[in-house]
Amino acid sequence: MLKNIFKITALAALLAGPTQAAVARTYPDALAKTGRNPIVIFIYGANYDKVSERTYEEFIKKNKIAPYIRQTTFLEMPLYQQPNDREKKDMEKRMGDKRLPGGIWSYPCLAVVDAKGTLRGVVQSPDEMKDPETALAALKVHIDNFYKQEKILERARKAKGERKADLLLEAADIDLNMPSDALGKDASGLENRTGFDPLSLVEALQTMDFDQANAHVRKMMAQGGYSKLQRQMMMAAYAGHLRRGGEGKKPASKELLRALYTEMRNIDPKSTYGAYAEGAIVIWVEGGKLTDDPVPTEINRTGGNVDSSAGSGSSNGTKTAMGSTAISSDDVGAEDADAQDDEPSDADFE
Amino acid sequence: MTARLIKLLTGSFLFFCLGVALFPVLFPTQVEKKVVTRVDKAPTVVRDTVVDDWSNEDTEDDDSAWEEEPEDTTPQIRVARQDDETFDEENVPLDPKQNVVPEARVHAQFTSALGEMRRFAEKLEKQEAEDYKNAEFKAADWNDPEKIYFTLADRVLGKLGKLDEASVLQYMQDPANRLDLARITLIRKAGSQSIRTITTLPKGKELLEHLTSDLNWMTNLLHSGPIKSVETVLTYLESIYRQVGPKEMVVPATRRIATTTALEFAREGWNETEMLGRFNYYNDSWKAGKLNSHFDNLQYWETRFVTGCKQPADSAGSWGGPRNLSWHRDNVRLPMERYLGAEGQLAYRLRNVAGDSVFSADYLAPIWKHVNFTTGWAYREIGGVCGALSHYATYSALAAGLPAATMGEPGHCAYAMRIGNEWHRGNSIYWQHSLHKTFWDEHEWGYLILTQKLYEDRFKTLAADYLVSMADFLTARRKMKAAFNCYEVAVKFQPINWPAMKRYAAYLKLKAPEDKDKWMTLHDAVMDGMGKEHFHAAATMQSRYVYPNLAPLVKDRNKLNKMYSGLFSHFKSWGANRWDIAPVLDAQISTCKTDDDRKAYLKEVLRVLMKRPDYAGAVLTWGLGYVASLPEGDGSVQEEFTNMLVQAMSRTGASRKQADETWATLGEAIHAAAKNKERRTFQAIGKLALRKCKNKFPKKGPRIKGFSGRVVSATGWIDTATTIGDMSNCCLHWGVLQRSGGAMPGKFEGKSGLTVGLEKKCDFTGVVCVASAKLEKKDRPFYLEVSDDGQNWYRVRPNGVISGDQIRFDLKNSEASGKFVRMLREGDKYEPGIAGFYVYGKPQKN
Repeated sequence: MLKNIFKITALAALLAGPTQAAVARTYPDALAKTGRNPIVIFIYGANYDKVSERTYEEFIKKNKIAPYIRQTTFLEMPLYQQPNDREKKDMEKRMGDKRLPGGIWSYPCLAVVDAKGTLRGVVQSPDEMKDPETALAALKVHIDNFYKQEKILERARKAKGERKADLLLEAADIDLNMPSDALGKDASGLENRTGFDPLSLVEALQTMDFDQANAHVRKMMAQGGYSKLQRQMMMAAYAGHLRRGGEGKKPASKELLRALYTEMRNIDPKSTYGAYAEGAIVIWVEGGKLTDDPVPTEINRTGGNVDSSAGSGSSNGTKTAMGSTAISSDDVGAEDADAQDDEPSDADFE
Repeated sequence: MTARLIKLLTGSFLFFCLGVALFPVLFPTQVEKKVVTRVDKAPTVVRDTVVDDWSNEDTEDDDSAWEEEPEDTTPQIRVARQDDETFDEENVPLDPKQNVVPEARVHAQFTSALGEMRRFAEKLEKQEAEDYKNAEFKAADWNDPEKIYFTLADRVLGKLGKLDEASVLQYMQDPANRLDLARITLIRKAGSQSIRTITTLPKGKELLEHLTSDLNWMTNLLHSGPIKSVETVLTYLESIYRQVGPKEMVVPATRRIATTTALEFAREGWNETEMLGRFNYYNDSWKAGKLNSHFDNLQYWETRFVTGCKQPADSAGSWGGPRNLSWHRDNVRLPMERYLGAEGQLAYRLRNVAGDSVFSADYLAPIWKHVNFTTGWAYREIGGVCGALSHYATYSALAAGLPAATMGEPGHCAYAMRIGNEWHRGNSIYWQHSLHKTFWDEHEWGYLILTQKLYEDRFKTLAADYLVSMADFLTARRKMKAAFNCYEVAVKFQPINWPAMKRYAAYLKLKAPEDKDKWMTLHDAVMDGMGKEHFHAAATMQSRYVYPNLAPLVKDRNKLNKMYSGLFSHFKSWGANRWDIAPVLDAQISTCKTDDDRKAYLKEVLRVLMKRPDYAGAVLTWGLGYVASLPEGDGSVQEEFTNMLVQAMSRTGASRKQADETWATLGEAIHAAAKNKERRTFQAIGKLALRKCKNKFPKKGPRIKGFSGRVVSATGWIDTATTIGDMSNCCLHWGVLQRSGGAMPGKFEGKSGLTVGLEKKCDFTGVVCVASAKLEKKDRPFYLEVSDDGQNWYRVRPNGVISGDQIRFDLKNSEASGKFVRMLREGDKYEPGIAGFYVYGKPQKN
């Protein structure tokens, strides 16, 4: 019994003690006082949205958020629709001369902002915001990532040259926006990451034959420094170029496309472009179509007979330094193969 | 005794005879007979009207029209369906006192009626809260809608008494009377056969009983905007009624969602499955508290913008299906004003990262499964162009229950969104908007504002609408005089009531087409009402419905021209938005019979419109287009008209204060000249612009290395694929052909690019195009085509060589020749502007 009382007291002390969040009343106040800790802003519709009202009730009034925002600076930010004078004054008071960061698409939400006012992470999707437990678990991930990223960035600030670049890339790979001043004036080693433009790549590939395109993309990949998303986009551009063929060229063989899209998918199967690659295999390799049926959805493969053993999934491919399947440049010579032939042929790999 | 008996028998006999004689007088037998008439324009539809035998004097001569009442018949269509475009009169006796067109009235003669209407509107507002109900007609009664109709018709006419204005307006004050009128209107708009069909549906009779017992519901159904296909409306309402049950149907929000969804889906001709999907989306969302609170206070008319939003299919690529709306509702929750600009959540991409064009099916194909076939989600993942961006913002607002609509602009998609009671444009780049959701099939911006103003003045408009309903009923009952009075008071009281005004004009055309005073009165009413603020609607009302009827009655041409120019004297600016004046000017000039009439007209409108900075460019553009459309003849008329236009341009001011206006005016005109391929006019305006606004042209021309021969393009015209966003600087297009250089957008779409029309057919030696900036993107070649006639084009080689800011085509050995040259390229969103375009060569002889 005494043991239990002790436990409860300890927990209460933990929740309400010195680790309690610093509550700010205005946004400038939060920016000023947060230091190296993140600011958590609960932004909600104050006069137009019942979902916000319910969320406010659950998160704030019932104080379910408290255990998750220790060490952070916490701010409530009501948004008013067509505000009256009183509401306008309230908003002006809360915002001061600052503006909320861009990148928030829906309210209510929990935004994680740093002292410079950069949005580092946000919990806003309906799946995440459906109940306090889910939302606050997602918030915790952002806060943990915040500290993790800050720690690496701190090390990067002290490092130089390649080491610094490696650390910055490590920080950038964390699923959180980087602070606005993370790179400083010296972005060496990160040019690929920061300068990547997928549409420029698409344009560049258009003027290349398949061999050149392959060499170009492989060279980019080998240089490193790109995020998973960027690498998937490279593969999308490359595979798209081969799929369409272009002036005077036949499209690449389906098996080559399968290999490329498989490589693209395997970079990050759960991402949007992982799903894109999966869909591309169904449509453009297997001649099937994506069907709109109730969850769980099944892919309806209506194409011709495809020899599954001939597929070049990652298990059959060559692992690259990035851990994905790569196609040798020799394979790319298949652009002259008969595009009408669904069956993989030797010519595809000549 | 015998004599007494004889007397008694005689007396009894006489009494009997008297009784026999008087019996029909004292106890008349109502012998029901049927009058069969054919309804105009629908010869197969037979309307039956049951009347007493005393009542139809008009048909006495025609015995063949009388038939015995069949013992047991299922009536054919007894009350014909009445749409908004026609007037249908029933076969009822004609009252000579009512068969007259009342004289046109001046404003003072309306004073009393307008005062009464004001009080009526105030009363409507108070009575709405009282929520009047009267269940006189039970479910079973609706098996015989004709009986209900004729019972009500007799009752209404009986209560109206003398049928003068005062009695009609007095009658309307009572909610019980208005409910009778609403029931009549419903039966007439549906047609009794349709009502009968509704009674065969599982809950049809029950719905009819509930609906027609409730004045507010009836009012909102009949007077919240256009109503089409009433049978379908009722069928859809029955379907919803059956699903939710009578208890839920009483909930105001549910009833509003149900009624407006039924109205809009019937009007648009969308199917029942999708209608139920839309209803359930909004009703469920409202019940779950997921809509913006602004939705709670919407009236029926504005709810129709929401529940009637387009693309109802629940499939990939559709924006208005429940699945997509749900996604927007849950993923884009914003305060109302932030939906304006919500397209910023999407990346603008003409091609996706795989290089597929946004216009191809491949663009989103692989992603559909991942996004559960949800359109908005798919575009948020991949990005899109103006269409996707505008739809995204629009449907985010609509999903939250806020009025919005997409709209087309030339080569672009934008949207309209209402913040509070004000409509705003989103993602808009041009003044020409064609709204995708409208009430009267008028798609321009001005009508959206008119709709807003009309219905936000709710009770005033409702009072007028009730009076129009009464007028329609009186029309059907052949009470022409009373009908005229009702229409006239209605449009006088609410003069921005577009549909009421249109209907009155149609009635006037039908019953008194040659009553010049009445047409003149209508003309003035339009100017005094819509003409105060809604310029486009007023001008359209005149040009479409008034001028064609009034003009032939005005014999003095000068007076008519003054009336025409007076329309524009009335307008100080464009009003809510710029609008196309060409159809109005076309309508006006079409009433001119001779070239002299046309010249006099042109002189008069140019006199007025050239003084209106907003309109001057537009009238010149129209004038140049009109001249180009004239039959060729010997060209003298064209020349005379063109001279008038150029003279009018010459009179534009050149002072510093007026320079901007003149520049904009001439810019519009030169753009029109290029579109019409009017080389001389193009050159004349260009030179005039240089003379009047020299400062607007570059001070120093581009430095280029030319080819052999002359610059043969300097005396030609040049046109672009687009001028969007830069209409006011079109005089610089002329500069592009000159040594001074100029500016024009570099836009390439398919076979549209830069086109130059030359003075004569030439042999070409080369072309130099100077861009306004260095040409960074060299992925797509520039190529050249030439033509002798501007129709049949031939590609010439080699392609252009890009060097710095110039594209050079060396045609020395190409043997290329022609009268037209165009430069093309595969399109992209951003291309640098064009500063100079020079075609070198030698004009051919002959």
